[in-house]
Amino acid sequence: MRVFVVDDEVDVRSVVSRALAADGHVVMSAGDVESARRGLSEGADLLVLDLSLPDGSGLDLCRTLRAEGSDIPILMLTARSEVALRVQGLDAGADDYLSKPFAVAELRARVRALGRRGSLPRGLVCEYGDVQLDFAARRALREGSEVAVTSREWAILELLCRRSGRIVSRHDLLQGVWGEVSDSGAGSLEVLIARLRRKLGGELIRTLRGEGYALAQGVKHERRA
Amino acid sequence: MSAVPKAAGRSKARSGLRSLFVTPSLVHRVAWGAALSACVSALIAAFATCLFAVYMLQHAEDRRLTEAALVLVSELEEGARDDESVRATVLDEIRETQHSGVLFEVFAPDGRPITSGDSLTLPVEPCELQERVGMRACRAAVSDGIIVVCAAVHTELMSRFVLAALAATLLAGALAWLASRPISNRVIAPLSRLRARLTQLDVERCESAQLGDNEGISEVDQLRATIAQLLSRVARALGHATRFAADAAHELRTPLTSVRAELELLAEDEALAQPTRENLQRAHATIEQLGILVERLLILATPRSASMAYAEAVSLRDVVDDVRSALPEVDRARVHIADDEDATVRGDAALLHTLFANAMSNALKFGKRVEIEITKVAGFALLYVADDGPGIAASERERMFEPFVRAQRRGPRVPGHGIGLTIIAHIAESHGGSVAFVESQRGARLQLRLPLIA
Repeated sequence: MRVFVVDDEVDVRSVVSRALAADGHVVMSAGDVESARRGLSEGADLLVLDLSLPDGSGLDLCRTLRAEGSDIPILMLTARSEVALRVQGLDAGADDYLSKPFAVAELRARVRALGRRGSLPRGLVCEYGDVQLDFAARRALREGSEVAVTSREWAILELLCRRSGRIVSRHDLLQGVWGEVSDSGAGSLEVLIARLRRKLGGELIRTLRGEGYALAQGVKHERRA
Repeated sequence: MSAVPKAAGRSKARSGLRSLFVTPSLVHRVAWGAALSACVSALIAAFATCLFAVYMLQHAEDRRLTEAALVLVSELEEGARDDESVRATVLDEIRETQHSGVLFEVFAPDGRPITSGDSLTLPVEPCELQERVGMRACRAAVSDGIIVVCAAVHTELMSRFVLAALAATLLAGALAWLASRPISNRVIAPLSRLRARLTQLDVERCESAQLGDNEGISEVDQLRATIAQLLSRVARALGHATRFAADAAHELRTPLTSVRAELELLAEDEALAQPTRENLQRAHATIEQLGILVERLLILATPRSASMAYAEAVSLRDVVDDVRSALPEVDRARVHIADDEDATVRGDAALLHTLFANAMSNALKFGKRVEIEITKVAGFALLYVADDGPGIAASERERMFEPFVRAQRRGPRVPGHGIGLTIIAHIAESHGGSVAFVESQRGARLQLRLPLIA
């Protein structure tokens, strides 16, 4: 996979590049918005983007890329961890978010996961009966009133929605949501699915014994600008 | 140090007593002031009226007596002046006026009484009080020196008037005291409105404080302006603190990221000799500890308001499960989560994760078995973290949340920064919640209260 790393700190850029290169990715890197845009025009499969850059913010670059119609998966890095920034980052079109300082293993896992699943279609909205899921705004409505959905529950819904009705195996869900397959994760997955059914109605998520989970037949997918 | 809580306790008791007997409120003071000034002015007015009335009545009585005397004088002038005829005229006059209660006496020019009575003496003044008989006497002279004295029983008016004045004053005072409360409430109203706005004020969001419009009362408006200035200074200071924390976060995390990642990459080299590998692991452990300390200090450096500008739905159960599964295998077996109860709150998942990680590691440090329980009570999520360690004395529980305070627990000294509980309290408060150690049969029991999602 061709990974493009954008970070203004030389040390961080260098070590991230080497770590990803050791995983077998082809890594290119840049230290500012301008050289990042130049590099990206040559083609890349995934962007690792730092929030603060000398000639602009990663958020703006993210927005510009999405406005231009690019659907390259973006992993946002930041040394600032406020929820505000995380929400803004996801709003601006980033697909995942990692706070510094991170473990190299986690960075690699996120890059792999993101590379596998690709970017979420922009402005994806799912509808089933009286339930409406707006992924960009992270708003879930049931019978017109807002339902509180946690970020982990969103991750599950996102994976299920992305496959639009096809089966997602437990293994893929664990890998995609927790980044690893473990017994404790498996227990939590069942708890989360039960919780989602309680919040959004029992029929939205189907269990296929021995295979995994899938969204109900007849969920409408819609892309909004 | 030991004197501080004692003194604080005493002053608390004293202020409690004071508020029981005298409510030190402005309304109270204004009411008392109004009642007092009403009393004083009523008293002055009543006494002035009294004196004037007494004088006027006296004057009228004197005129009546003088006129009666003059009538007799004119009658005497018409008749003979020998003692016999004078006595006859006087008797006639007495008979005519016997219902008016006026007493007559006639004195010869040398002061000898001509009429029989010996009750009156010759007045020195035109009118005077003859205390021996308790009568007021006025005189008038016939042209040849005979003096006619008229007298009537004197009524002591002054004491009655004083009683009436006192009664009026008391009545006025009582009325003023009753009326002054609503009136002073009205007078204080602009201040009360200002206070009400200040009560609603969130000190950590004071840049958007609403103190209302000008009241048009100079003192209140000046006070409002002063408070507004103070608030803007506080807002600026908080802004500085928030920016400082954000800048510090960036400057500290960036080098930590690269050092930590370099060490992790180095350790991947399979050709490394064992001693080098061990050194690397030690360095990695140190940098992780440093990272944790930096994160903890950054949380404390961020003002409570700033950390909660945005929030997402967070399941406490998720966070607890995550924290537990991140523990080493040995510790994980010691943590027991009561049942499948869950509660969703609005907040920052990363901060709440830090909160539980701190609470759990604290409990694991002091106890062998840690029990976690989540319940929901009246709009709040309650989360308990209980251990079976030595516990914390009731007197120390509150102080434990101050930075760098460690419990005087029995047993060996446990390593730590001494800010874990401070961080727990800081995060809980920035989520609109609270944290405290509560009574437990054994060990320490930490209670965390967070508002449930609406």
